[in-house]
Order: sequence, then C-alpha cells, then structure tokens
Amino acid sequence: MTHNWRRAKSQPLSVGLFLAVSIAGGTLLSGCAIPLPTNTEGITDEQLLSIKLGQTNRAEVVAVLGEPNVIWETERVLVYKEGPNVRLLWIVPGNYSAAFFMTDLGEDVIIMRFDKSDRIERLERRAGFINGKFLRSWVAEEKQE
Amino acid sequence: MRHIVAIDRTILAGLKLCCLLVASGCASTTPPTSSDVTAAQRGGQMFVLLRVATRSSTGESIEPFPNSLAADNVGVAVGSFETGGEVRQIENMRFLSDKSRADGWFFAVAPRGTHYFAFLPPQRTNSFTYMAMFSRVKRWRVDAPATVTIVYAGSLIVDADESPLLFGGKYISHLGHMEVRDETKIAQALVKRFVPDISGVKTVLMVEHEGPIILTTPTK
Repeated sequence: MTHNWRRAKSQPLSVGLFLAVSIAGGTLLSGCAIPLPTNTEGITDEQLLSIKLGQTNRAEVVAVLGEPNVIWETERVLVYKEGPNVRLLWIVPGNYSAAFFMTDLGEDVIIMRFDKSDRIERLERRAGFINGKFLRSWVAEEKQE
Repeated sequence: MRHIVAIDRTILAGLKLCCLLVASGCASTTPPTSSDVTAAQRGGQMFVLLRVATRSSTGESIEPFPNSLAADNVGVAVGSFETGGEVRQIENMRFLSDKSRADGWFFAVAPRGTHYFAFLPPQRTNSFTYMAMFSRVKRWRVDAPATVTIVYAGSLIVDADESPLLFGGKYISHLGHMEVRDETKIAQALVKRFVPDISGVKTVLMVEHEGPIILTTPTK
C-alpha cells in the first residue's frame, strides 16, 4: 500500500520532471556552453602594498588606483572592478550560421572602506557581483567583527 | 483517476508558465494600482515619472512605445543601489494611460534613492547582446530626495532614425542626440488625473552621468 501510495504521489512529479529535463536538455543540446577562465590584469599587488591601512586617504588611493567604478557614499566605500573571473561562452548553431554570446559568472573586485577622517580602514579583494546585497553584507561583516 | 488529475494539474501549470512567458514580453498599459500608491505613501517606494519624446530628422514625432511586444519599443533600463548601479531593462513598462503612453510618458515604482536610466532603440539582436548594450550607452542619473513619493525626472527629447520594415511600416533604428526638457506642468496634470491619491510632484531633472557610479543607501 505504501509503495502504491508513493507511485501515485510520484506520478505528477515524474511528468513535471520529464518536462523540466526536456526543456533543459533541449536548451543545452541546441548549443553549447564553454566556461572560459579569464586572466584580466587588474590592480597589481604592488599598487595595493602602497596603500597603508589607517594612513592612506581617499585622494591618495584614487591617485594610485585611478577613479573607482562604484562609490557608495553613505558608507564611504569604494569599489574597483578588476573584470570577470569566469566567463561562459555560449554557441548556438543554426542551419548555416551560429550565434555567440558571453555571460560573466563572477568578477573580481577590490573593495575598501574609509573612516570618518577619510583614512582607509579596510581593504579586500573579493569575488562577486557588485549589488546591494553584496555591499550590505560586506559592511555587515565588518560590524560583526 | 488520480493520474488524470495529476496530468491535468501539470498541463495547467504548463499553460500558466506559457502564458507567463508570453505575457512577460508584453508591454500592456498598466496604470498605478492601490498597492503602488500604498507602498509610496508608506515610504518604501516612490513613483518615478519620465517622458521619452522621439522625433525624426524632420522634427516629426515618433511614438516610442507603440507595440504590445516590449522588444519592439524603445528599450528602457534602470539601475539602483540594489543592482550596484548596473542598468537592467524594464521588462514590463508601465504607463498612466494609452494617450500619455502615445506621447512617451511612462512611470516606474522603485525604491527611494539614486537611479540610473539608459535608453536603446528597439531590440534587433539577441537578448544577451541587447542587455550588454545598455551598459555602453549614455546613462542618466536621477537623485530623488528621501522624502518624496513621486518624482518627475524630466522629458528626454531624442533625435531618432527610422528604418523600413520588410512588410511595410518603420521602426526606430538609432537614438541620437538627447536632451532633457522640463514639462512639470504636464507631469503635474497627469499625476493629478491618474494618481489623485498622491500629491506633491517633485521635479528632479535627470542629468547625464559619467564617471564612477555613485550609490546612496535607499531610505525607507
């Protein structure tokens, strides 16, 4: 009885699963996706070594690293994007042609925070996409420490 | 019998999914709802009202959002703190009315704070490329004050080129020079008529943005 009950319950799942696998399989088989590790030359370690925590101010950081990509004014955070760390290359073949496009799976960033007297107090190299969630959690980590 | 019910449910779910996929590309006129108004009045969200006025080289007005398929209209992308300033296409554009839509007026309900807008001609390439194109075009910044419930961000007057379609008609193939014009009085009249529960339209004209993305924490 238990076995039958399981089969009855699993029936809609198997139909759903079949549809999901069909759609996913069809999408994958219609083209291919190749992960491409990238080797972007971002900010060098030498440049970062010249920045001293508690000493270097924001103007000096900009003089060394250039203008940041993102400034979060409220929390005195600067973000430098170093470029994607892994890129997915999609190739979708047609009859006589093919379409190519790339999706970034993540990016390397240098993220730093300044204190109220404009001196750098935290500096890290991280992997992740810059968005509200990332920024909030990065600042929250510091508060937890 | 159980199997029939199960399959029916699966088919129904599939149909719902198909309808959702089809509808996701549609640009229907969806005026403000009471929940939009409540969200704005409570402080978490705000209305951002804009106009895109496309005109041909002869100065003739071209409707920017005439089609029900969103990809055939002028593309609008918006970025905020949540996206790290990166602009993303608004899939379901919203309009106050059919008439104002024909004139290029649209609105978005968004968290309060700084927003970035970008505009592209209708999509004529794959979605990935089109999305990437938004990050390479001119960006416009709107610094909305923390206390407002509705912001008029200006009217963007855009020089556009048109190209013929294979079976007749034309489509906007290029967006050229853009400038912001202040049409506060029209904006106020539209808000008074279509969002009467919200008063006090604040005009904060969008400005062309270059350099680092500047973010501020959204206020609640």
